Amino acid sequence: MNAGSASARSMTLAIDTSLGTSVAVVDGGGTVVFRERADDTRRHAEHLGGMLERALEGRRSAIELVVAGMGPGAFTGLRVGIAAARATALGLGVPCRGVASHAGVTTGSAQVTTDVRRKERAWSIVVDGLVAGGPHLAPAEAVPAPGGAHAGLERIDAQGVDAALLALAVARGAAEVPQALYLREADAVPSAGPKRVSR
Amino acid sequence: MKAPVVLGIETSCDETGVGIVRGTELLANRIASSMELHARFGGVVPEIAARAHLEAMEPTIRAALADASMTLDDIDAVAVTAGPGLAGALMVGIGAAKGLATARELPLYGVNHLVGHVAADVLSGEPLELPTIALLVSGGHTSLLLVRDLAGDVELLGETIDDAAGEAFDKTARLLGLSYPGGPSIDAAAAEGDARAIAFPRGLTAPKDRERHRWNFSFSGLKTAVARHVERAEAAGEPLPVADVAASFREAVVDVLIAKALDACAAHGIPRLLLGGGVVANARLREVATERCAEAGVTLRIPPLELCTDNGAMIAAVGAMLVARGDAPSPAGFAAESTLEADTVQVTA
Ligand SMILES: [Zn+2]
Repeated sequence: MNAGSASARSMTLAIDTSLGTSVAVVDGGGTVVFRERADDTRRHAEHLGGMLERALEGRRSAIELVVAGMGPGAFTGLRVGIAAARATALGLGVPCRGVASHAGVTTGSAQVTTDVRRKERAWSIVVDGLVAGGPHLAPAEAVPAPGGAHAGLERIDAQGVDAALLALAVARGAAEVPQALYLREADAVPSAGPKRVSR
Repeated sequence: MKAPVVLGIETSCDETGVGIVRGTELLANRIASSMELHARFGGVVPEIAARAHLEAMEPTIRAALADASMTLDDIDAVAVTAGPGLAGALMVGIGAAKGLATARELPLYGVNHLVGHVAADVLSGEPLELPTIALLVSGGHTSLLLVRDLAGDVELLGETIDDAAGEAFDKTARLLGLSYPGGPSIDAAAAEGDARAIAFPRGLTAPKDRERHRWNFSFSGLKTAVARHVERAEAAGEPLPVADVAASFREAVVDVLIAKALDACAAHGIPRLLLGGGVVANARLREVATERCAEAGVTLRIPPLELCTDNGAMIAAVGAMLVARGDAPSPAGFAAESTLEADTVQVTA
């Protein structure tokens, strides 16, 4: 190895705010060199500021890619991480790549479910740490058991997402997810017309 | 020392704004609006606005840098709107600002949107004379401020207790079957109308309101009065005099706004009034303000329209002022404050 390789860009920064807030840096060999996670499903913007600072300290010139967890998740929190990931990549002059957040739950195989509020859960089939099906929405009390080739798969109701696993999933070829996985249309029912005020 | 170059990010409502200033010099002012996405709902839908901010943010930052012929290497600090505004919308700008500032190791200032509207005037090329009364009217806010010092002494004299003035225009436009946004469509409809045809109520101007609501606004009663008028015409099977209703409604809004602003000028002995916010695009508002300020001996300041509507340059201007004063940046853990008070210029916790 020549002297230049030590400072060469080889690390991946990953950010996920689909459930709690998670920030990680993984080096080119797949070793996690920074990992912080707060499974607080609120206060994403608050947690993220400090985590990002600590993640980038001394590593700015080593980051070659930023990975963003694209959900599913509660919309407002989810967007904080995506916006931050994209802007961080812009600031570092490197690409940003979005992946499904459910890849950040296990490196094995499972039916991964996460709370997306309103008494619903989102679920995906994860095989060897990569999302192989989903995400789908289901009532929290009635998430269907996977069938066919995935019948009998262990179910994991995740309390948090590990951004380090997202970075590793990308290194292993996880599919790109360019837009946030909202799964629901924006709440905006056009009103039926003006309310009457006189009788 | 050269004045600091600050990039400002604004996402408090439906405009994704990114501006760049050097001290008080305007270098770029890019705005991506999601307005047309809200048109069929007759008003800003917060979740639609937030989704649009997320997609518009990076392209708008790039466009602003290109407009200023700059790269991120030229930026000395980042400022972002911390509030007041729609929480989900604000959060997109704050997430992006934290990412950008942290990646570039730049100081980040979370600043007040309302103070930004006042600071916009420093970019118009002439020094802002203080103290001044400021009337900020948009779809999201209707506020009357006493500004003694932009960077630390801004007092909220009054604000709307129900609808913002811009919202009143939007809702009334719907009642009259006019298009969104309501400001321009009511303006157009009012052109042929008689502003004195209907005596619509002036909210919170009765003597009994003087003590508690002297400088507060209320537009819901006015909206209800218009609705009643429309329904009465319908019930009677008469055609609705849209032009007269639009003109009379607009006159009522403008009258209350300017009367209260000038009352604040007189009460505080401050012969200066600054206008800001998107409703300033309303020609009748500017006309009445010009006439009555002249009569009252009050100097009127209206920044160029592209600096009156929500924009990132005004946020950058606040940031530049804080940097110039040597103020410390906001802490890494700051968050959106959808109800941030006018007297908090910068969030420090
Ligand atoms: Zn505004």
